[in-house]
Amino acid sequence: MKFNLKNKDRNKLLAVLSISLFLCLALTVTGQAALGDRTLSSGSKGAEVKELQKKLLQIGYQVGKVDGVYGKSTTEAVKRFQKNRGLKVDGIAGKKTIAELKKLTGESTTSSGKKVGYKNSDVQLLARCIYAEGRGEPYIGQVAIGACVMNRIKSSEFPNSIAAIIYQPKAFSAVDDGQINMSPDETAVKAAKEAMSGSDPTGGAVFYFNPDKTKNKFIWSRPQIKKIGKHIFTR
Amino acid sequence: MKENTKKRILAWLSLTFFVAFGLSLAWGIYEYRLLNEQKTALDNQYKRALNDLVTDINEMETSMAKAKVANGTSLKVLYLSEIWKSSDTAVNRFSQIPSDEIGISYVETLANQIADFSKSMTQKVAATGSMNANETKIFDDMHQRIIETNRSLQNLSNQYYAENLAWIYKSPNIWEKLGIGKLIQASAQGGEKGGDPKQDDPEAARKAGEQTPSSVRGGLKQLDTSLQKYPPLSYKGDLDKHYVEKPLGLPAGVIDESKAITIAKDFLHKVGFRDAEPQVTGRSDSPLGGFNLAFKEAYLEISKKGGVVTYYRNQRELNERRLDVPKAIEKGYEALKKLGFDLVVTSTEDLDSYVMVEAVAQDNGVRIYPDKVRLTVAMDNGELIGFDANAYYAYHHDRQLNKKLSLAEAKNKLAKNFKIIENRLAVISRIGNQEAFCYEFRGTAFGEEYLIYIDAVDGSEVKISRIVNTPRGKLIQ
Repeated sequence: MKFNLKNKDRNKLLAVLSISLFLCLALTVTGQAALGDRTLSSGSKGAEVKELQKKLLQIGYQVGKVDGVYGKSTTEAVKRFQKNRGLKVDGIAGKKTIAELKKLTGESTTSSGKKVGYKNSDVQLLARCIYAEGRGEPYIGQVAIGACVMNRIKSSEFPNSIAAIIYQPKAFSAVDDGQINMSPDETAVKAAKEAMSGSDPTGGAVFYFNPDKTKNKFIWSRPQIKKIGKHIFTR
Repeated sequence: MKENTKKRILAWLSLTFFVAFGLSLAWGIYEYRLLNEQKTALDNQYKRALNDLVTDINEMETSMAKAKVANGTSLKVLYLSEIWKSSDTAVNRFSQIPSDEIGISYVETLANQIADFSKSMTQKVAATGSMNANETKIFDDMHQRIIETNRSLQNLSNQYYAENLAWIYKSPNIWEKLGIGKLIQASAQGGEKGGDPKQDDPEAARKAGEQTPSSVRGGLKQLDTSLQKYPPLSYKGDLDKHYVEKPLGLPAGVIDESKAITIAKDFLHKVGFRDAEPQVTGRSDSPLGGFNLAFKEAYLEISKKGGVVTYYRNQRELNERRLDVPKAIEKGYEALKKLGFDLVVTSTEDLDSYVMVEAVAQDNGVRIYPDKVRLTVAMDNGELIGFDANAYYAYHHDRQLNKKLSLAEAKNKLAKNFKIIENRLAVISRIGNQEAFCYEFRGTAFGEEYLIYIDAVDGSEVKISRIVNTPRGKLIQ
């Protein structure tokens, strides 16, 4: 067979080639599409969905597994986000929802617009501590646990940073048994933010304990301030 | 059954057994090695913390000795800041060493006090060149204590290396680990299985303290006990700044339970509950404490002295957001007015379904930052769902505010390239529940926004805050 193509055949080949080239390019573009290029909704998959899930998680909305699949838990998280931000609650991540999400997950800036980071790592750690120690407690009880950590920073009898206090050996049983590594829920994240802004329902407590489960004499000997939920808070 | 089949079954069984045995042996060895690796890694971390602690305290002691004799400003400031640095890191190292429980630690308290004191002395010496007689005396007292602490720590470190001391005095044995024996664990929020009576009894602990320690933690406890023998330091500094012993702002008089219910009803009515029937659910024992009350999802606290609401929180479900931040501020002002407060909003933080608003008192146009009320405004209907006036009632009092510096003189103290956006007079809090009467300048320099405070009495630069724009509001660092 000779490689002498007729004009007609050549045209066909060119057409096929250009179409496939176009398809290739188009597919590459979709593959690298950024969050916000298209509307995402239940059933959507891919990198954009993963990006969306990460951003929701960053500001404390639980989406289950960050797997790039727009499933039921992602839809629910989007709905809660929309409700809390005053957007149309439809569970669909359209232009407005994504823009609002991007705005809230952006970095902090100086007055001239220079980026200086997210400034939220302590919130994440404190939220985990609150969730591990106090899930199931009323909201105020969770803020109170966070406030205890913040009070320890201010007290001269404890270390001076959130991480140093939380990871101090034997300071929190939920740290020693690994519960601290569980992903916190939205209530715990909120409580952490509130405690870090300075809210303190405990009246200056640095210890707390569950009276039904504790016989430890040291903790019972501390001056008690008040009981919130199941915990007694002490000085 | 044939002899042959029996043999075959037996052969298969023993083969399976040996394979299973071999596999579990291999798994056991693997786990054992893994455990050893992990143990070593952890042990190394602890050793590092202990060594660092000993080094930090030693450096701190040396710098204190040098700072005492330094006569020139530059070296005195250098040594004082070195003390501050090593005491701060010592506190951190101390908290990394394993313990069987955590309680009040005098070593940590001493290190923190020295850190605070040297920090404020660094500033003072840099400004005035020297410490006064009283400060010198306190400094010497601190030095004597740190010499003793340093000696004990060096001793403990030597002992650790010579005798391979355990970290905590008793590690659980295999039965306890398997959950059969009684496991001793006590922690900050209380050991859930009961503590060791020997450790809980201070008398026994003191007696044990006189013997040679059998563990690093035991040695640190002995050190703690020996430090407790000293009289308290005359310097209080930042001590217990999370806690106000004598609130200045509570009205006179003491109330009883029925009065507390009346006050709660009135408050709840003002924040939007019509016929509320609050119940007393408990007491709180603190200088600002009194009665804890609840009604439906609302919780509030009323002080025994003066009978004022110090804390309120409505934990209701929040619906769709319908407000924006300026509207929330407006609602915050409305609520304050209803509750009888005349305050000015200084900051907001947008937390999606609600917004946190901070408002402070004003005295003839002077912002009184310590007298602060924190409000939480729901973004669905603008209701006040949170109110925290603990700071307000702790610090609010009549102040004698007499400035000596004119605005022009204060402006002169600012950096040349600092562009002022606005200025006002303000009272701010300082280390150790002290206050300063200042000129507050908000402005920009180097592309950043700052708040600079110049003392309105002596003209010194008191504080600089940096303002960062976060997606949720301005953050003052």
